[in-house]
Amino acid sequence: MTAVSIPNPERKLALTNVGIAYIAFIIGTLCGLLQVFIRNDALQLPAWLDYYQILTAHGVLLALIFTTFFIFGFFQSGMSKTLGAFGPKVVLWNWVGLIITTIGTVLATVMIVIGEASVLYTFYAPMMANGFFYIGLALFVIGTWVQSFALVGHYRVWRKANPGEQSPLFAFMTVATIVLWVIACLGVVATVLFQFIPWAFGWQEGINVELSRSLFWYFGHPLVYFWLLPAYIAWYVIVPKLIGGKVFSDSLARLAFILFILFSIPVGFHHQLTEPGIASFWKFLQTVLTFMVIVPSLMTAFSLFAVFETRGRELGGKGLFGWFTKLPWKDVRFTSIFVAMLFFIPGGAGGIINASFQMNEVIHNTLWVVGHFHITVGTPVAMTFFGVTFWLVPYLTKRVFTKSLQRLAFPADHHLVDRHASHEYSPACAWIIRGAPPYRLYGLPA
Amino acid sequence: MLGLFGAPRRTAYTGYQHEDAQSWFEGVLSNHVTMAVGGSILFLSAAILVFIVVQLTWFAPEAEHANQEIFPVAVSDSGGTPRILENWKVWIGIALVLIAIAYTVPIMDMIQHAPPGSKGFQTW
Repeated sequence: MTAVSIPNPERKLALTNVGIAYIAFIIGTLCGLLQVFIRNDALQLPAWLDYYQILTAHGVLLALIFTTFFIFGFFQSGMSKTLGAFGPKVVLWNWVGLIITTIGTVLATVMIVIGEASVLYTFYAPMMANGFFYIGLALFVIGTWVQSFALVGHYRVWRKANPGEQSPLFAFMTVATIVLWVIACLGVVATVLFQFIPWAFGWQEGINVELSRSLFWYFGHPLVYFWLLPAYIAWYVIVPKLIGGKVFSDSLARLAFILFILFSIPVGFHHQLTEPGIASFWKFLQTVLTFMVIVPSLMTAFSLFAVFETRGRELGGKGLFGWFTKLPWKDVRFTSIFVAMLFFIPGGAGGIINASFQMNEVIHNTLWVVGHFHITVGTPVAMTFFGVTFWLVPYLTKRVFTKSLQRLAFPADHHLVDRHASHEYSPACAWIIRGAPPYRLYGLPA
Repeated sequence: MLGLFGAPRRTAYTGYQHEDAQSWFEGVLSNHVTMAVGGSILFLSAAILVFIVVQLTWFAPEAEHANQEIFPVAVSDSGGTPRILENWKVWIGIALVLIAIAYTVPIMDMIQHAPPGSKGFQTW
């Protein structure tokens, strides 16, 4: 291994992606800040700015734009690192994809900002935004596909050059994530192209609401795995290196990713358990498939802690939990990801509650769901991406993550954790302790 | 936690008048003051994070060869990994079959028994 860094074209590509991600991030969090004060009645928005406008911007910019751009920056650098330098075509098509994605992003964001698309990031029909908002969404997806296919092309070149060899784990996981993404997007592309765009431009009279929601959730659930799998790549491949260990089991890691592809797509109905128009049998079938996702999730959890314990014992940890103290807690790159993992425990448990037929009745359409979202995507995924940022950005810019910056990183992290926790959500036991009945919105005077 | 008491999501205002609704927002942990405090700290942290990213992009000292940041990839022994795990045709095929099983019939139902289409609403 001669060069530490990846070639310049890939560095520029990845840095552009990460840069756009963080621009979206800071605007999105600012919207989040405004929201809590509006809900608190502490802040009155000017007449030209609407709460739902800000909420839409917050959701789209953080959950969709920040994550996606960051993920592609991470993939591009990792694919170049593990499979070798990109050819000129791969670089070109990655740029083409990145530019299309950015145009789509700007178009959709402009529509939100000028108040033409306050439809929240799930853009449920029959709420109707300006047609150009949907065109922006379509361009965004197409752009990510172009980048995806460019990366798959790079992988195929490698496979041809190394016949019969197993690809590096990072590359395998990247391709798995891309496979998931492309299959998932078929649903959203179908509904946006054939339902929303003709309807929003007035070429078609009405819209089939139930069909549009079902196609959306066909995409919407694997979408969360598209966010989660890159975080899992960091957990499986990066974290063991940071603590000085090895991957627990190569085949287990690969199998887990394949199970995620299989069981994260045919499950969208668990977001629609209260909707009429879908027979219970199909809801039940998809709920069963949903619960299969617990298998690869637990495989991930146990193998990661096995890596931690093995490494902690190598470093001289004694007794049942002595290894725990030996982990590199002062390394913010590790600590922020470890905390992210801890949050996934209540996050996952909450998810099981949400997907359960009866318990879904209790929490449906309440702030609980917002809480679930914030401690799954908002904390484990985003915190993992921050942990990755701390080495990926200096790696790409060839600069030093200085001691003083590292010290600054710790409070940033801890605060994010503390507050995300109590933000809107706490474990289910609170309900039992307080004995409060689960009132719902319905039937109460608003 | 507010959710468990039934507070709705995605609402701009929470000025409900009914006493049941009012009770959701009593207490130290479950009111909108904590939410606002949390949100503020959260934003402060986000600002620090972005400051760090900006520093690392343009202002942090340039690395020498010796202290150059590495891309940390852990060793993974793929010696015993079964070949079939990287046979994408198999897995994509199974995924498509599962999707077809779970979706074909209900989607056909939705299309064949569709109610009249809805016009668009602008609720804001």
